[in-house]
Amino acid sequence: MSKLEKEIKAAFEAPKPQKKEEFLSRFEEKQLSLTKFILSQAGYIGKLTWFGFAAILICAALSPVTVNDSALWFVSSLMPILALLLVSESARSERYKMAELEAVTRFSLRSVLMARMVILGGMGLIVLAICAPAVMFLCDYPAIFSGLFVVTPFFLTSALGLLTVRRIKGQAAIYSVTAEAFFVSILVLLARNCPERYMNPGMIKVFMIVAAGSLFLTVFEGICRIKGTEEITWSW
Amino acid sequence: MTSLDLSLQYDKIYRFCYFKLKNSHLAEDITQETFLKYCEHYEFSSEREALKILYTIAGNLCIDEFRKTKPVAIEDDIQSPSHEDGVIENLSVRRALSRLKAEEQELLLLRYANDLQIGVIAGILKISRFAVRRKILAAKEHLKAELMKEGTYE
Repeated sequence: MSKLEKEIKAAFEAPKPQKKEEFLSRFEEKQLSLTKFILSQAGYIGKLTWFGFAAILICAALSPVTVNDSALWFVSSLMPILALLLVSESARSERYKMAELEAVTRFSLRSVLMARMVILGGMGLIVLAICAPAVMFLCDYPAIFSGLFVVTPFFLTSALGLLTVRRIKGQAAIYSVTAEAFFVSILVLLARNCPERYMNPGMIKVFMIVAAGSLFLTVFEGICRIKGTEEITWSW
Repeated sequence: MTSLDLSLQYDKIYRFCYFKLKNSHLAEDITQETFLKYCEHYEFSSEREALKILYTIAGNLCIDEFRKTKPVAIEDDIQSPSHEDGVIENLSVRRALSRLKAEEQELLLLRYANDLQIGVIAGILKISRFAVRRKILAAKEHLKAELMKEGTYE
């Protein structure tokens, strides 16, 4: 800051405010905490999404009893559906063409989207945290294969879904994400017919690369989506 | 309210209101009303957006207040720098600033006293960043010219 700029700053000095401390102490009490805000957004997540999460969790929990040896494949094929729920819920504003309206409400669309993604991401991780160790212990396959088989379809569908939602607008995006989710799900089920082809040490690197790449793309697309909700400013 | 430093923003909004109204009591009331209005309607917005909204609310409230009653400068406390030279320089800069157009004064206040980014100022004044940059440069040139007339700027 040059000398002139410092002098301008000094010249604009105002008398000390008298009631600042008192006001700020009362004002901070009135503000909504971040946790309360995130929890308040949980109520706005669609009932169908909650039902879907619950159904996937129950199906995954019952799979060792109902489908025995195929539990790993069954749980893995459910993961793209879990990702589909997450992506379609995060794109609800665009789907109903409400994004512009929500951008001017009390809570900005960006904050709402971030809060909902935290909730949905948290729910997704809870389902993964329950399903992955469960199949790792209950199935006969090596633990690392089982874990990767559950995690990879989820991250792959999430990444593809978020990429699609950012590129395509409206209802068409949801149809595309659904198609992608079912495509990944069917691929996993088809892999069940020749497990020896996928359950070998050579494939572990491939699965790790796909899982890491998908995770990176999911995070990247998530950030892009949140940034995309900012106001459009004239940029020179 | 996002990640804004409330105490710092309070001082800045107060300074902005004081510049508009020249009355510390009124300026403080308007500052508090600005924060309450913001909190009522726009909680949890991005920092850039929050600043734009805060200054817009403050500006509109000052205009409303100005329309109601033409404010009288009850006090215009001059800060007391420790050195005599500082006082003279500060007074001459104040005098020179007062001879600039209101829009130029406001731009210099927002940019140098309140340290706002060009993009945020552009959002508040609803003009392009390029126009903000150009107007600030012009305002600085006018200020320098005024100070030269007084013989306090080389």
